[in-house]
Amino acid sequence: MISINNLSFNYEEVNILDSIDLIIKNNGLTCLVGGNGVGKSTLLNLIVGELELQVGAIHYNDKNINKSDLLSKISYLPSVLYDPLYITVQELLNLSRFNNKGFLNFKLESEDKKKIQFSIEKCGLQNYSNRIFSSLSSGEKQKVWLAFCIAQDKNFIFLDEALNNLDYDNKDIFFNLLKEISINKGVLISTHNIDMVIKYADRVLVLKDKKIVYDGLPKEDLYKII
Amino acid sequence: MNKFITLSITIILLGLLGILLGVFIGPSKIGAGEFIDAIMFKSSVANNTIIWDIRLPRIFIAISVGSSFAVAGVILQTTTRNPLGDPQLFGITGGALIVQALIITGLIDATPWLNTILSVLASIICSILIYIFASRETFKPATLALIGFSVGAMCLAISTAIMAYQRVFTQQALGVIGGSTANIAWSSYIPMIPFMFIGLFFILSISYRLNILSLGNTIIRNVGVNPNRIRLLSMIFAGVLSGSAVSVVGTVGLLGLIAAHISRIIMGNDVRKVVVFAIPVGSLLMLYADQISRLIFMPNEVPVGLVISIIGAPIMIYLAWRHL
Repeated sequence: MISINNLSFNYEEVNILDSIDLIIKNNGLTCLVGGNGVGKSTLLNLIVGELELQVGAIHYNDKNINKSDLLSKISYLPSVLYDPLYITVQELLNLSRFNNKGFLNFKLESEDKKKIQFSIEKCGLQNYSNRIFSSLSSGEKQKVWLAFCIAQDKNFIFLDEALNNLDYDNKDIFFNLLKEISINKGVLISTHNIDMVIKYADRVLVLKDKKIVYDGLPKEDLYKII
Repeated sequence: MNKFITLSITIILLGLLGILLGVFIGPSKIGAGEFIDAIMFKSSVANNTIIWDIRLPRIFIAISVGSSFAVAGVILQTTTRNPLGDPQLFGITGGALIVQALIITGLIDATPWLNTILSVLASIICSILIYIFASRETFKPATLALIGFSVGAMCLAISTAIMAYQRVFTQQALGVIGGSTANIAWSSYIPMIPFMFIGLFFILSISYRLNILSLGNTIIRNVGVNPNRIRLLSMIFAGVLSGSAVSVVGTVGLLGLIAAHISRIIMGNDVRKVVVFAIPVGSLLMLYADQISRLIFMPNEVPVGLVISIIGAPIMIYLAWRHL
């Protein structure tokens, strides 16, 4: 459980987030919605430590936690991702289990290999694994990045608009997949895709005017609050 | 494994051929018998000198310098996620070039060891400068290359100005700017060796971590690695390799760039293999370029750096066309 207490953030004197309190549980699919520039990415970046906290605190299971320990619990995909040059999908996914064991190479244990294989199957990447990552389409890349997070198998997955390049059918498939993995992981995704939110979310957070103005079950007239 | 054996044999044969060319072909004719005598200091004084002090050092120097620049090129391309990475293009050799200018004009009175140490330090300073820019991820590859190019151009201008001010326009000045392996004494080459081994050892031992640098900072932190620490360390050692090489032969443009790309095309994507294979690729490129520079206008010489640029530019254009 990640709890965020009294979080405020200013960017160059402009107040973006104002005393936000939020608890993210170890399971369930939470969708963070809101217009462009309301601070969805800022909120995610603050939680994972990409931005420095200015006001407020973040606790893990009600205890203090330092940035790198918290990050070891969260797989995070930022909205802007850089294409790794030259490497194949399989090589990229191997890096998701990177560790410091071994001297001249990091060592993939059989458990690591199993998790990578699981993520490849879950995301339907069997036919892609030997392709060069940078040659894939933007939607295919997003599938690979999601597989990367699944292979990491941390307690939480935070996604910043990570499925927005998928076509409608694939969005459906992948939101369904997120729902499935959220049985034992806290999944938080920021998105503009209200259809999917209504269909799949266990919990909706609406961010507007620096505050979370709605926190609850998805409902049909969600777009009116945003 | 077959590929590995084929490559090894090709490298060894090409290497031997290059070395034979370097030893036997030249303005003075030296046959096999005379060579064996000379190796054991039993030939005439002239032949001993030609083999031991003129032809052999060049071969060692070409191989050392070639592998240093090539590995530095791979490191720069990987750490900055930039296909344009090259010690000269990124301005890293610029600092060492200024040191060379100060030394040949006599403004600094330096022993070979001091020369190498100063060049390495100057290159490290340039590396750190480029690192500071490269750690800002929003920089596009072209932006970083432009910054590096500007740093390099500025250093070249300063070096040329120093030499012009001191009225030094000798062969030696051309050698430093254009890169030359001619007439370098063992004593000038030896200080490079420890730096080369330290740089290569360090880079090889961390090369598996370099694979991860292509992922972008957020993802790198997400897999539990501090991207900037690896980036800074590897760029410092790229500086060590380039700086020590410049202290011996001056700047050799494009060598790192071409060797890194050839190595990547042959070895694929794994940075470890690319780094290791860059060593023979860089050595062979430099060895053959050096033979061309010696022999094409024999007995006169062209700076080897210019040969590399002349043969390297079309190769680079082809590689960019086909593979980037």
